[in-house]
Amino acid sequence: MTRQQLSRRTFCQLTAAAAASLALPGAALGQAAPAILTFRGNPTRSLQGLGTVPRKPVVRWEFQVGTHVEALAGGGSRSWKGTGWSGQAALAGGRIYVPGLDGTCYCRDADTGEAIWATAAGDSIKSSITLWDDRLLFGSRDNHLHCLALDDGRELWKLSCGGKDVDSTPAVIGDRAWFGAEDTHLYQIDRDGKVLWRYATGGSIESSPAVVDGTVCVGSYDGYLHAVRADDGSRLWTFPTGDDTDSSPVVVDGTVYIGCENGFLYAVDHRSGELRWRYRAGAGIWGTPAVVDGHVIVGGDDALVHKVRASDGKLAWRQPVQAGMWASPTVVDGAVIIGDWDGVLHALSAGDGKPLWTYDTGTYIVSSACIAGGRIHIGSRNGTFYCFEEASDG
Amino acid sequence: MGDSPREKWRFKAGAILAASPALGPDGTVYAGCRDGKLYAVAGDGTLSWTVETAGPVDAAACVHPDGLVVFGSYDGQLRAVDAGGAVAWSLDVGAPVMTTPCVDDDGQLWFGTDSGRLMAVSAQGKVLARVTVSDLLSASPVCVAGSVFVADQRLFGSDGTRADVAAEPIVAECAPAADGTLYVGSWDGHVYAIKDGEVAWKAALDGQIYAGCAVGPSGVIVAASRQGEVVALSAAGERLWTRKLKDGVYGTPAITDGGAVWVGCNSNRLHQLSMETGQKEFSAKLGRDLRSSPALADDGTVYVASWDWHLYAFESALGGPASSPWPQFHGDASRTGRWAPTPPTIDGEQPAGMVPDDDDSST
Repeated sequence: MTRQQLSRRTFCQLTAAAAASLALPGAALGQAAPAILTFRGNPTRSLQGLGTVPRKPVVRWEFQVGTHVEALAGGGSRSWKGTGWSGQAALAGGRIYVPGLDGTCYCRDADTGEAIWATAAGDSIKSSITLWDDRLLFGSRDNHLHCLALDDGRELWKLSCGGKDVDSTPAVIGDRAWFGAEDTHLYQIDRDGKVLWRYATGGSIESSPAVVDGTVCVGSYDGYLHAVRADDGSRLWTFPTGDDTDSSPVVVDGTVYIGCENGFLYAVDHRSGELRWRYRAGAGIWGTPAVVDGHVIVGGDDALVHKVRASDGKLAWRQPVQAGMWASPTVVDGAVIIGDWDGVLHALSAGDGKPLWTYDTGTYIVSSACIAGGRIHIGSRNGTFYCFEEASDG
Repeated sequence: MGDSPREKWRFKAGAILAASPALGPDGTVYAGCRDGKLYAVAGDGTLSWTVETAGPVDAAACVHPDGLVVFGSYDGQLRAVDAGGAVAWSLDVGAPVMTTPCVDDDGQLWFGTDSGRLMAVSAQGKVLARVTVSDLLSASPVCVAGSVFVADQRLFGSDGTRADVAAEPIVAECAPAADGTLYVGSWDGHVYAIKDGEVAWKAALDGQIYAGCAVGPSGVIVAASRQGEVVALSAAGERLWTRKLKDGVYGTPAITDGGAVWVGCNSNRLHQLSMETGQKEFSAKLGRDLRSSPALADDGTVYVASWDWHLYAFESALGGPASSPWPQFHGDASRTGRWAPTPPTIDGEQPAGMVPDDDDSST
């Protein structure tokens, strides 16, 4: 894939999203700095990154995310460090927004990593960050969806969600946002956090919804991919995935791609909910697939990165990495960037799967990378959030 | 229960154990692992040997009556190893093999692949048959009264059976009753009874079904769902009891001749229920998920493989497998996947509806 092709496609995706909503989130922030506005970039979850990927990465800056110690019911404790699953940072206007497992949302200067503001939620933030014009959204294990002002991080509102974690990342179009919660519901809200409708699935939702063509798709613990009308939340169809579906749907050219904990990767007709094909990894899929250039790339808990044809699910390649993966691959500039449970960040060639480089963070990476402007932004469970760039001699 | 089951030993493998254990005639337990290895663990819990593959080994091995241990891997090979761990043959299938072979009446092995093929090989590894049944096969084939059956929403039989069964995929194997009726659960939440290629009845459970059915004495069927509902059904499909467990069941229950049912849970529990009432009699806590099926040996020992990397052996006085066609996953602890009607004996009770398949039986 050439960089020109990539930027053309990216432009088309953004244009399509802009056509779907006159108020493209983040559009007001200007064209100067690249923007990654939400988990997988846009409401269809199909834009993973922009620009180039370093071939010889060096750390430009890093900072320590704090630690949250959770007391366990049966005694003992568990410590939450760094960033979690899906844990993708958002980038716009020269600032990066990082969801911390310590329960803090960090705003930092994207160039220097210097602190601008930090706002604490009541518990770990596992979701990714979604930017929404002058504000941002994230879910927390404190059972709320939080809305902060972009400029100074003050909390504008928080929405209580049935006494359960909110790990799903909102999708926003215009004046509406959609997200799932572990209280089993898919929510539609307005800018003030007012709930316009709720749709009940049969299990907790950790998947992040994809919204396009008036349809919201989301996976659930109940073993189904659900499609509902974006305007009123009425059911359009359900598709049996068979098991817990924490992976997020990706909608490209009328097909929904989604992984499942039972190891299946599915391609489902976006209009009818009918199966187009299925492919099986050697173990569960928690990550969200990347759909690029007619192929689908996903990491499995089987420690393999899989690339299959988008048209029929036939295998292009499988590349072993060091450990299983829950993170979602970011495919940009001909490279697949994904972290594994050993804490190794991998860059593979998107063409043939061969390793380009690795960077060992020591403790596991379950977060997805935010890549733009030649930089890779990603957090590890070692407690550090990194910004990588090309080495000066690279 | 006076004699509570007791952990005899545990063996630690190199990664998650997702495959159901299989038991060899010498008491060796074979366990497939996500580290790509098949572990052979002696009856005293010590490692005998391992065989390495290039992908997760998620499906149980089948111990062929001739002694070979045959198993698939995600790397696309079906391998046969002897009791000493030497690879006798390896067959390149070209697609992951996530099913357990069954042995037919001629000693041939049948298995399904991720390319949707049902394949038959000789005990020497020669391909004898290859038929495309579906786009992908998850359920293990079974050999019942000489014919091989496998379902994936539709039922396919080597005797020509083709039947539309469920509304959603089937990933569990078919379990036979003595009269040849097949029972199988689907993600659509129903257990189906299929007789002569037709759905005779269906029974709804709470939740999607991954676990195979076990068939016990008097033809009572034990089925379980991903929502943790365990039920006993009569051969007519009536619900006899219901036990709601806290966590989902993915593995096939095992029924003992002492009136107990062993059930693994995807939390970390191994439960033992009363076959009579469904009452919980005993629970063991493991480190992590137990998604595979227990292997129940003739001496009453129960072997379970857990996501906590351990293979466990539990001693119990609740007996070996019930003397019914399908008391556990793949029919028996050796995982031969085969059931053939045996001639009735003089003092044995002939199950209702049984049709002996030849005339030089009994008397």
